Amino acid sequence: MIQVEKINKYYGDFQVLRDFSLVVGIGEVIVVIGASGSGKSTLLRCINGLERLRSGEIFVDGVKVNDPKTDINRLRSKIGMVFQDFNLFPHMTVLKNITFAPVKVKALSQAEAGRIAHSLLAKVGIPEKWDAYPAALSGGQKQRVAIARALAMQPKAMLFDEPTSALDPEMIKEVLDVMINLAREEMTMVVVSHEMGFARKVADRIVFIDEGRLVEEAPTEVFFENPKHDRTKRFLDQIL
Amino acid sequence: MEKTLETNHLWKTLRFFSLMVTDRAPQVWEAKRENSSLDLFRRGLFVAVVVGLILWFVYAELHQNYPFNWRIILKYRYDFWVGFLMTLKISIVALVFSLILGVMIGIGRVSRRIIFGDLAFGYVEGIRNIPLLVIVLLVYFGFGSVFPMSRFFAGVLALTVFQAAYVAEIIRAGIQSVGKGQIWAARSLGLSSGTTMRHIILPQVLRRITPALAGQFIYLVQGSSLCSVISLTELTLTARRILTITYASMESYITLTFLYFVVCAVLSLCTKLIERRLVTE
Repeated sequence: MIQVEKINKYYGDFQVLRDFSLVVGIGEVIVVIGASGSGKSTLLRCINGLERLRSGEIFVDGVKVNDPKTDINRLRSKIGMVFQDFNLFPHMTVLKNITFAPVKVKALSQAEAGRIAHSLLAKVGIPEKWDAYPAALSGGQKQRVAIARALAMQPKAMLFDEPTSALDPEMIKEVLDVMINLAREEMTMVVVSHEMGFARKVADRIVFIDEGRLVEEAPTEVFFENPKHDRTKRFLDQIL
Repeated sequence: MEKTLETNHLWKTLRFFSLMVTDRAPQVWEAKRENSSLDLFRRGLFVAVVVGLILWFVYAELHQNYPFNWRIILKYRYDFWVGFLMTLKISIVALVFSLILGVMIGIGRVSRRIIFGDLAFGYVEGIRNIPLLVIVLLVYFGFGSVFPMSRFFAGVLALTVFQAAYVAEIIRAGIQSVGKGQIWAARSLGLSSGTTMRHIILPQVLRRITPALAGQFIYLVQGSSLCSVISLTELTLTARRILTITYASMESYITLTFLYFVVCAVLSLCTKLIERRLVTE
């Protein structure tokens, strides 16, 4: 589904990703961990073409992302993305937030998009909030709307960039529950997160990044029980 | 019964004045209180009375040495009205064009195409370092001598060119204040950069920049007075002409001051209302 091949990414002279490669199969859930500033979020933005690469290649669903000839908007509509700070559109109601892209990009009718939006809101557990503005929602509700918004495009893969890091502890669970359900439905997911409980529960593989390099990649069980690298062990000691 | 009412009134007035001196506005870092204990109307009235008294004293003092004759203004009221309309007309036309040009240049400033950014930067920096009066003179007497143009056109052109640079800076700051996250979110949904700009970024920008834009528009109305140097018969020139005919300098300039004040105050009030509506939405 997603193929990252030896990408190098710089911010000015600072190298964020170094020869980074990763393959994500259909229906796989990958959890990416690493210290802050290690390049996790940048990796996600590279996957849907929000960042330009210095070198390397990324393919999503067989289409090359970093190719000027690719219809990037079409490609992006197949990849949902959820952000740490939600990034809901503050001037639109919840319903409009969710229906806007399907209507604009996939040319759905307002009614059809609305129907999908309502069913997605029911799925994330806040069907009654369709008429509210984002400012009136709690953090957990905002993030669930953001997930519904991404799902409304009926993406083939979802990228989550620390979706629970900006939430109060009591709201983390409601968002994770939505994500767990999504994983059960065989959605392909790349999740940057430090929720180790979540990772153990749903991840097929864990990827550990340090200073832009892929340090260790292993099936979840193996990763937690038997990490190979010292750097990974130290990191796990710190967060577990 | 009557007596209690009277004392009640007295007490209220005393309380009002005591509050007037002791009441403290919330500091910027404090949470806003729901309301001051004094209602807005009374506070406004108080300020108006104080300002009115000062103005009245000044006027009375001037009156000793200057024979005020307000009939002259009444006599020329039609000319004032025409000048007033011309000021409004040139301001509104220049506003519309400067908004269009300003938005284009403002977007150019944040464009990914480096050449647009540089051109827009050059425009803004170039214009902002030239006084408006000089631009007005340059356009009408300079360019006008090669490309004949009407005074009105020259005035609108000068004001638009000048104003657009400031509008562009406001737009640029507004766009940059919306933040990358909104753009990422929109683009990650597959929206094109044009749709993102029009439906996601600009509506948010508009809310943020209304106050700054309003200030700029008020400045535009005031700046239009400089068009009097190219003999465009707007408000200022009207006042000066009436003065040269009647020698009633005080009356014409006071009227002039008052009219500009009224227009700008009304504008200011309108933008406050729009702002409030945008916030509550």
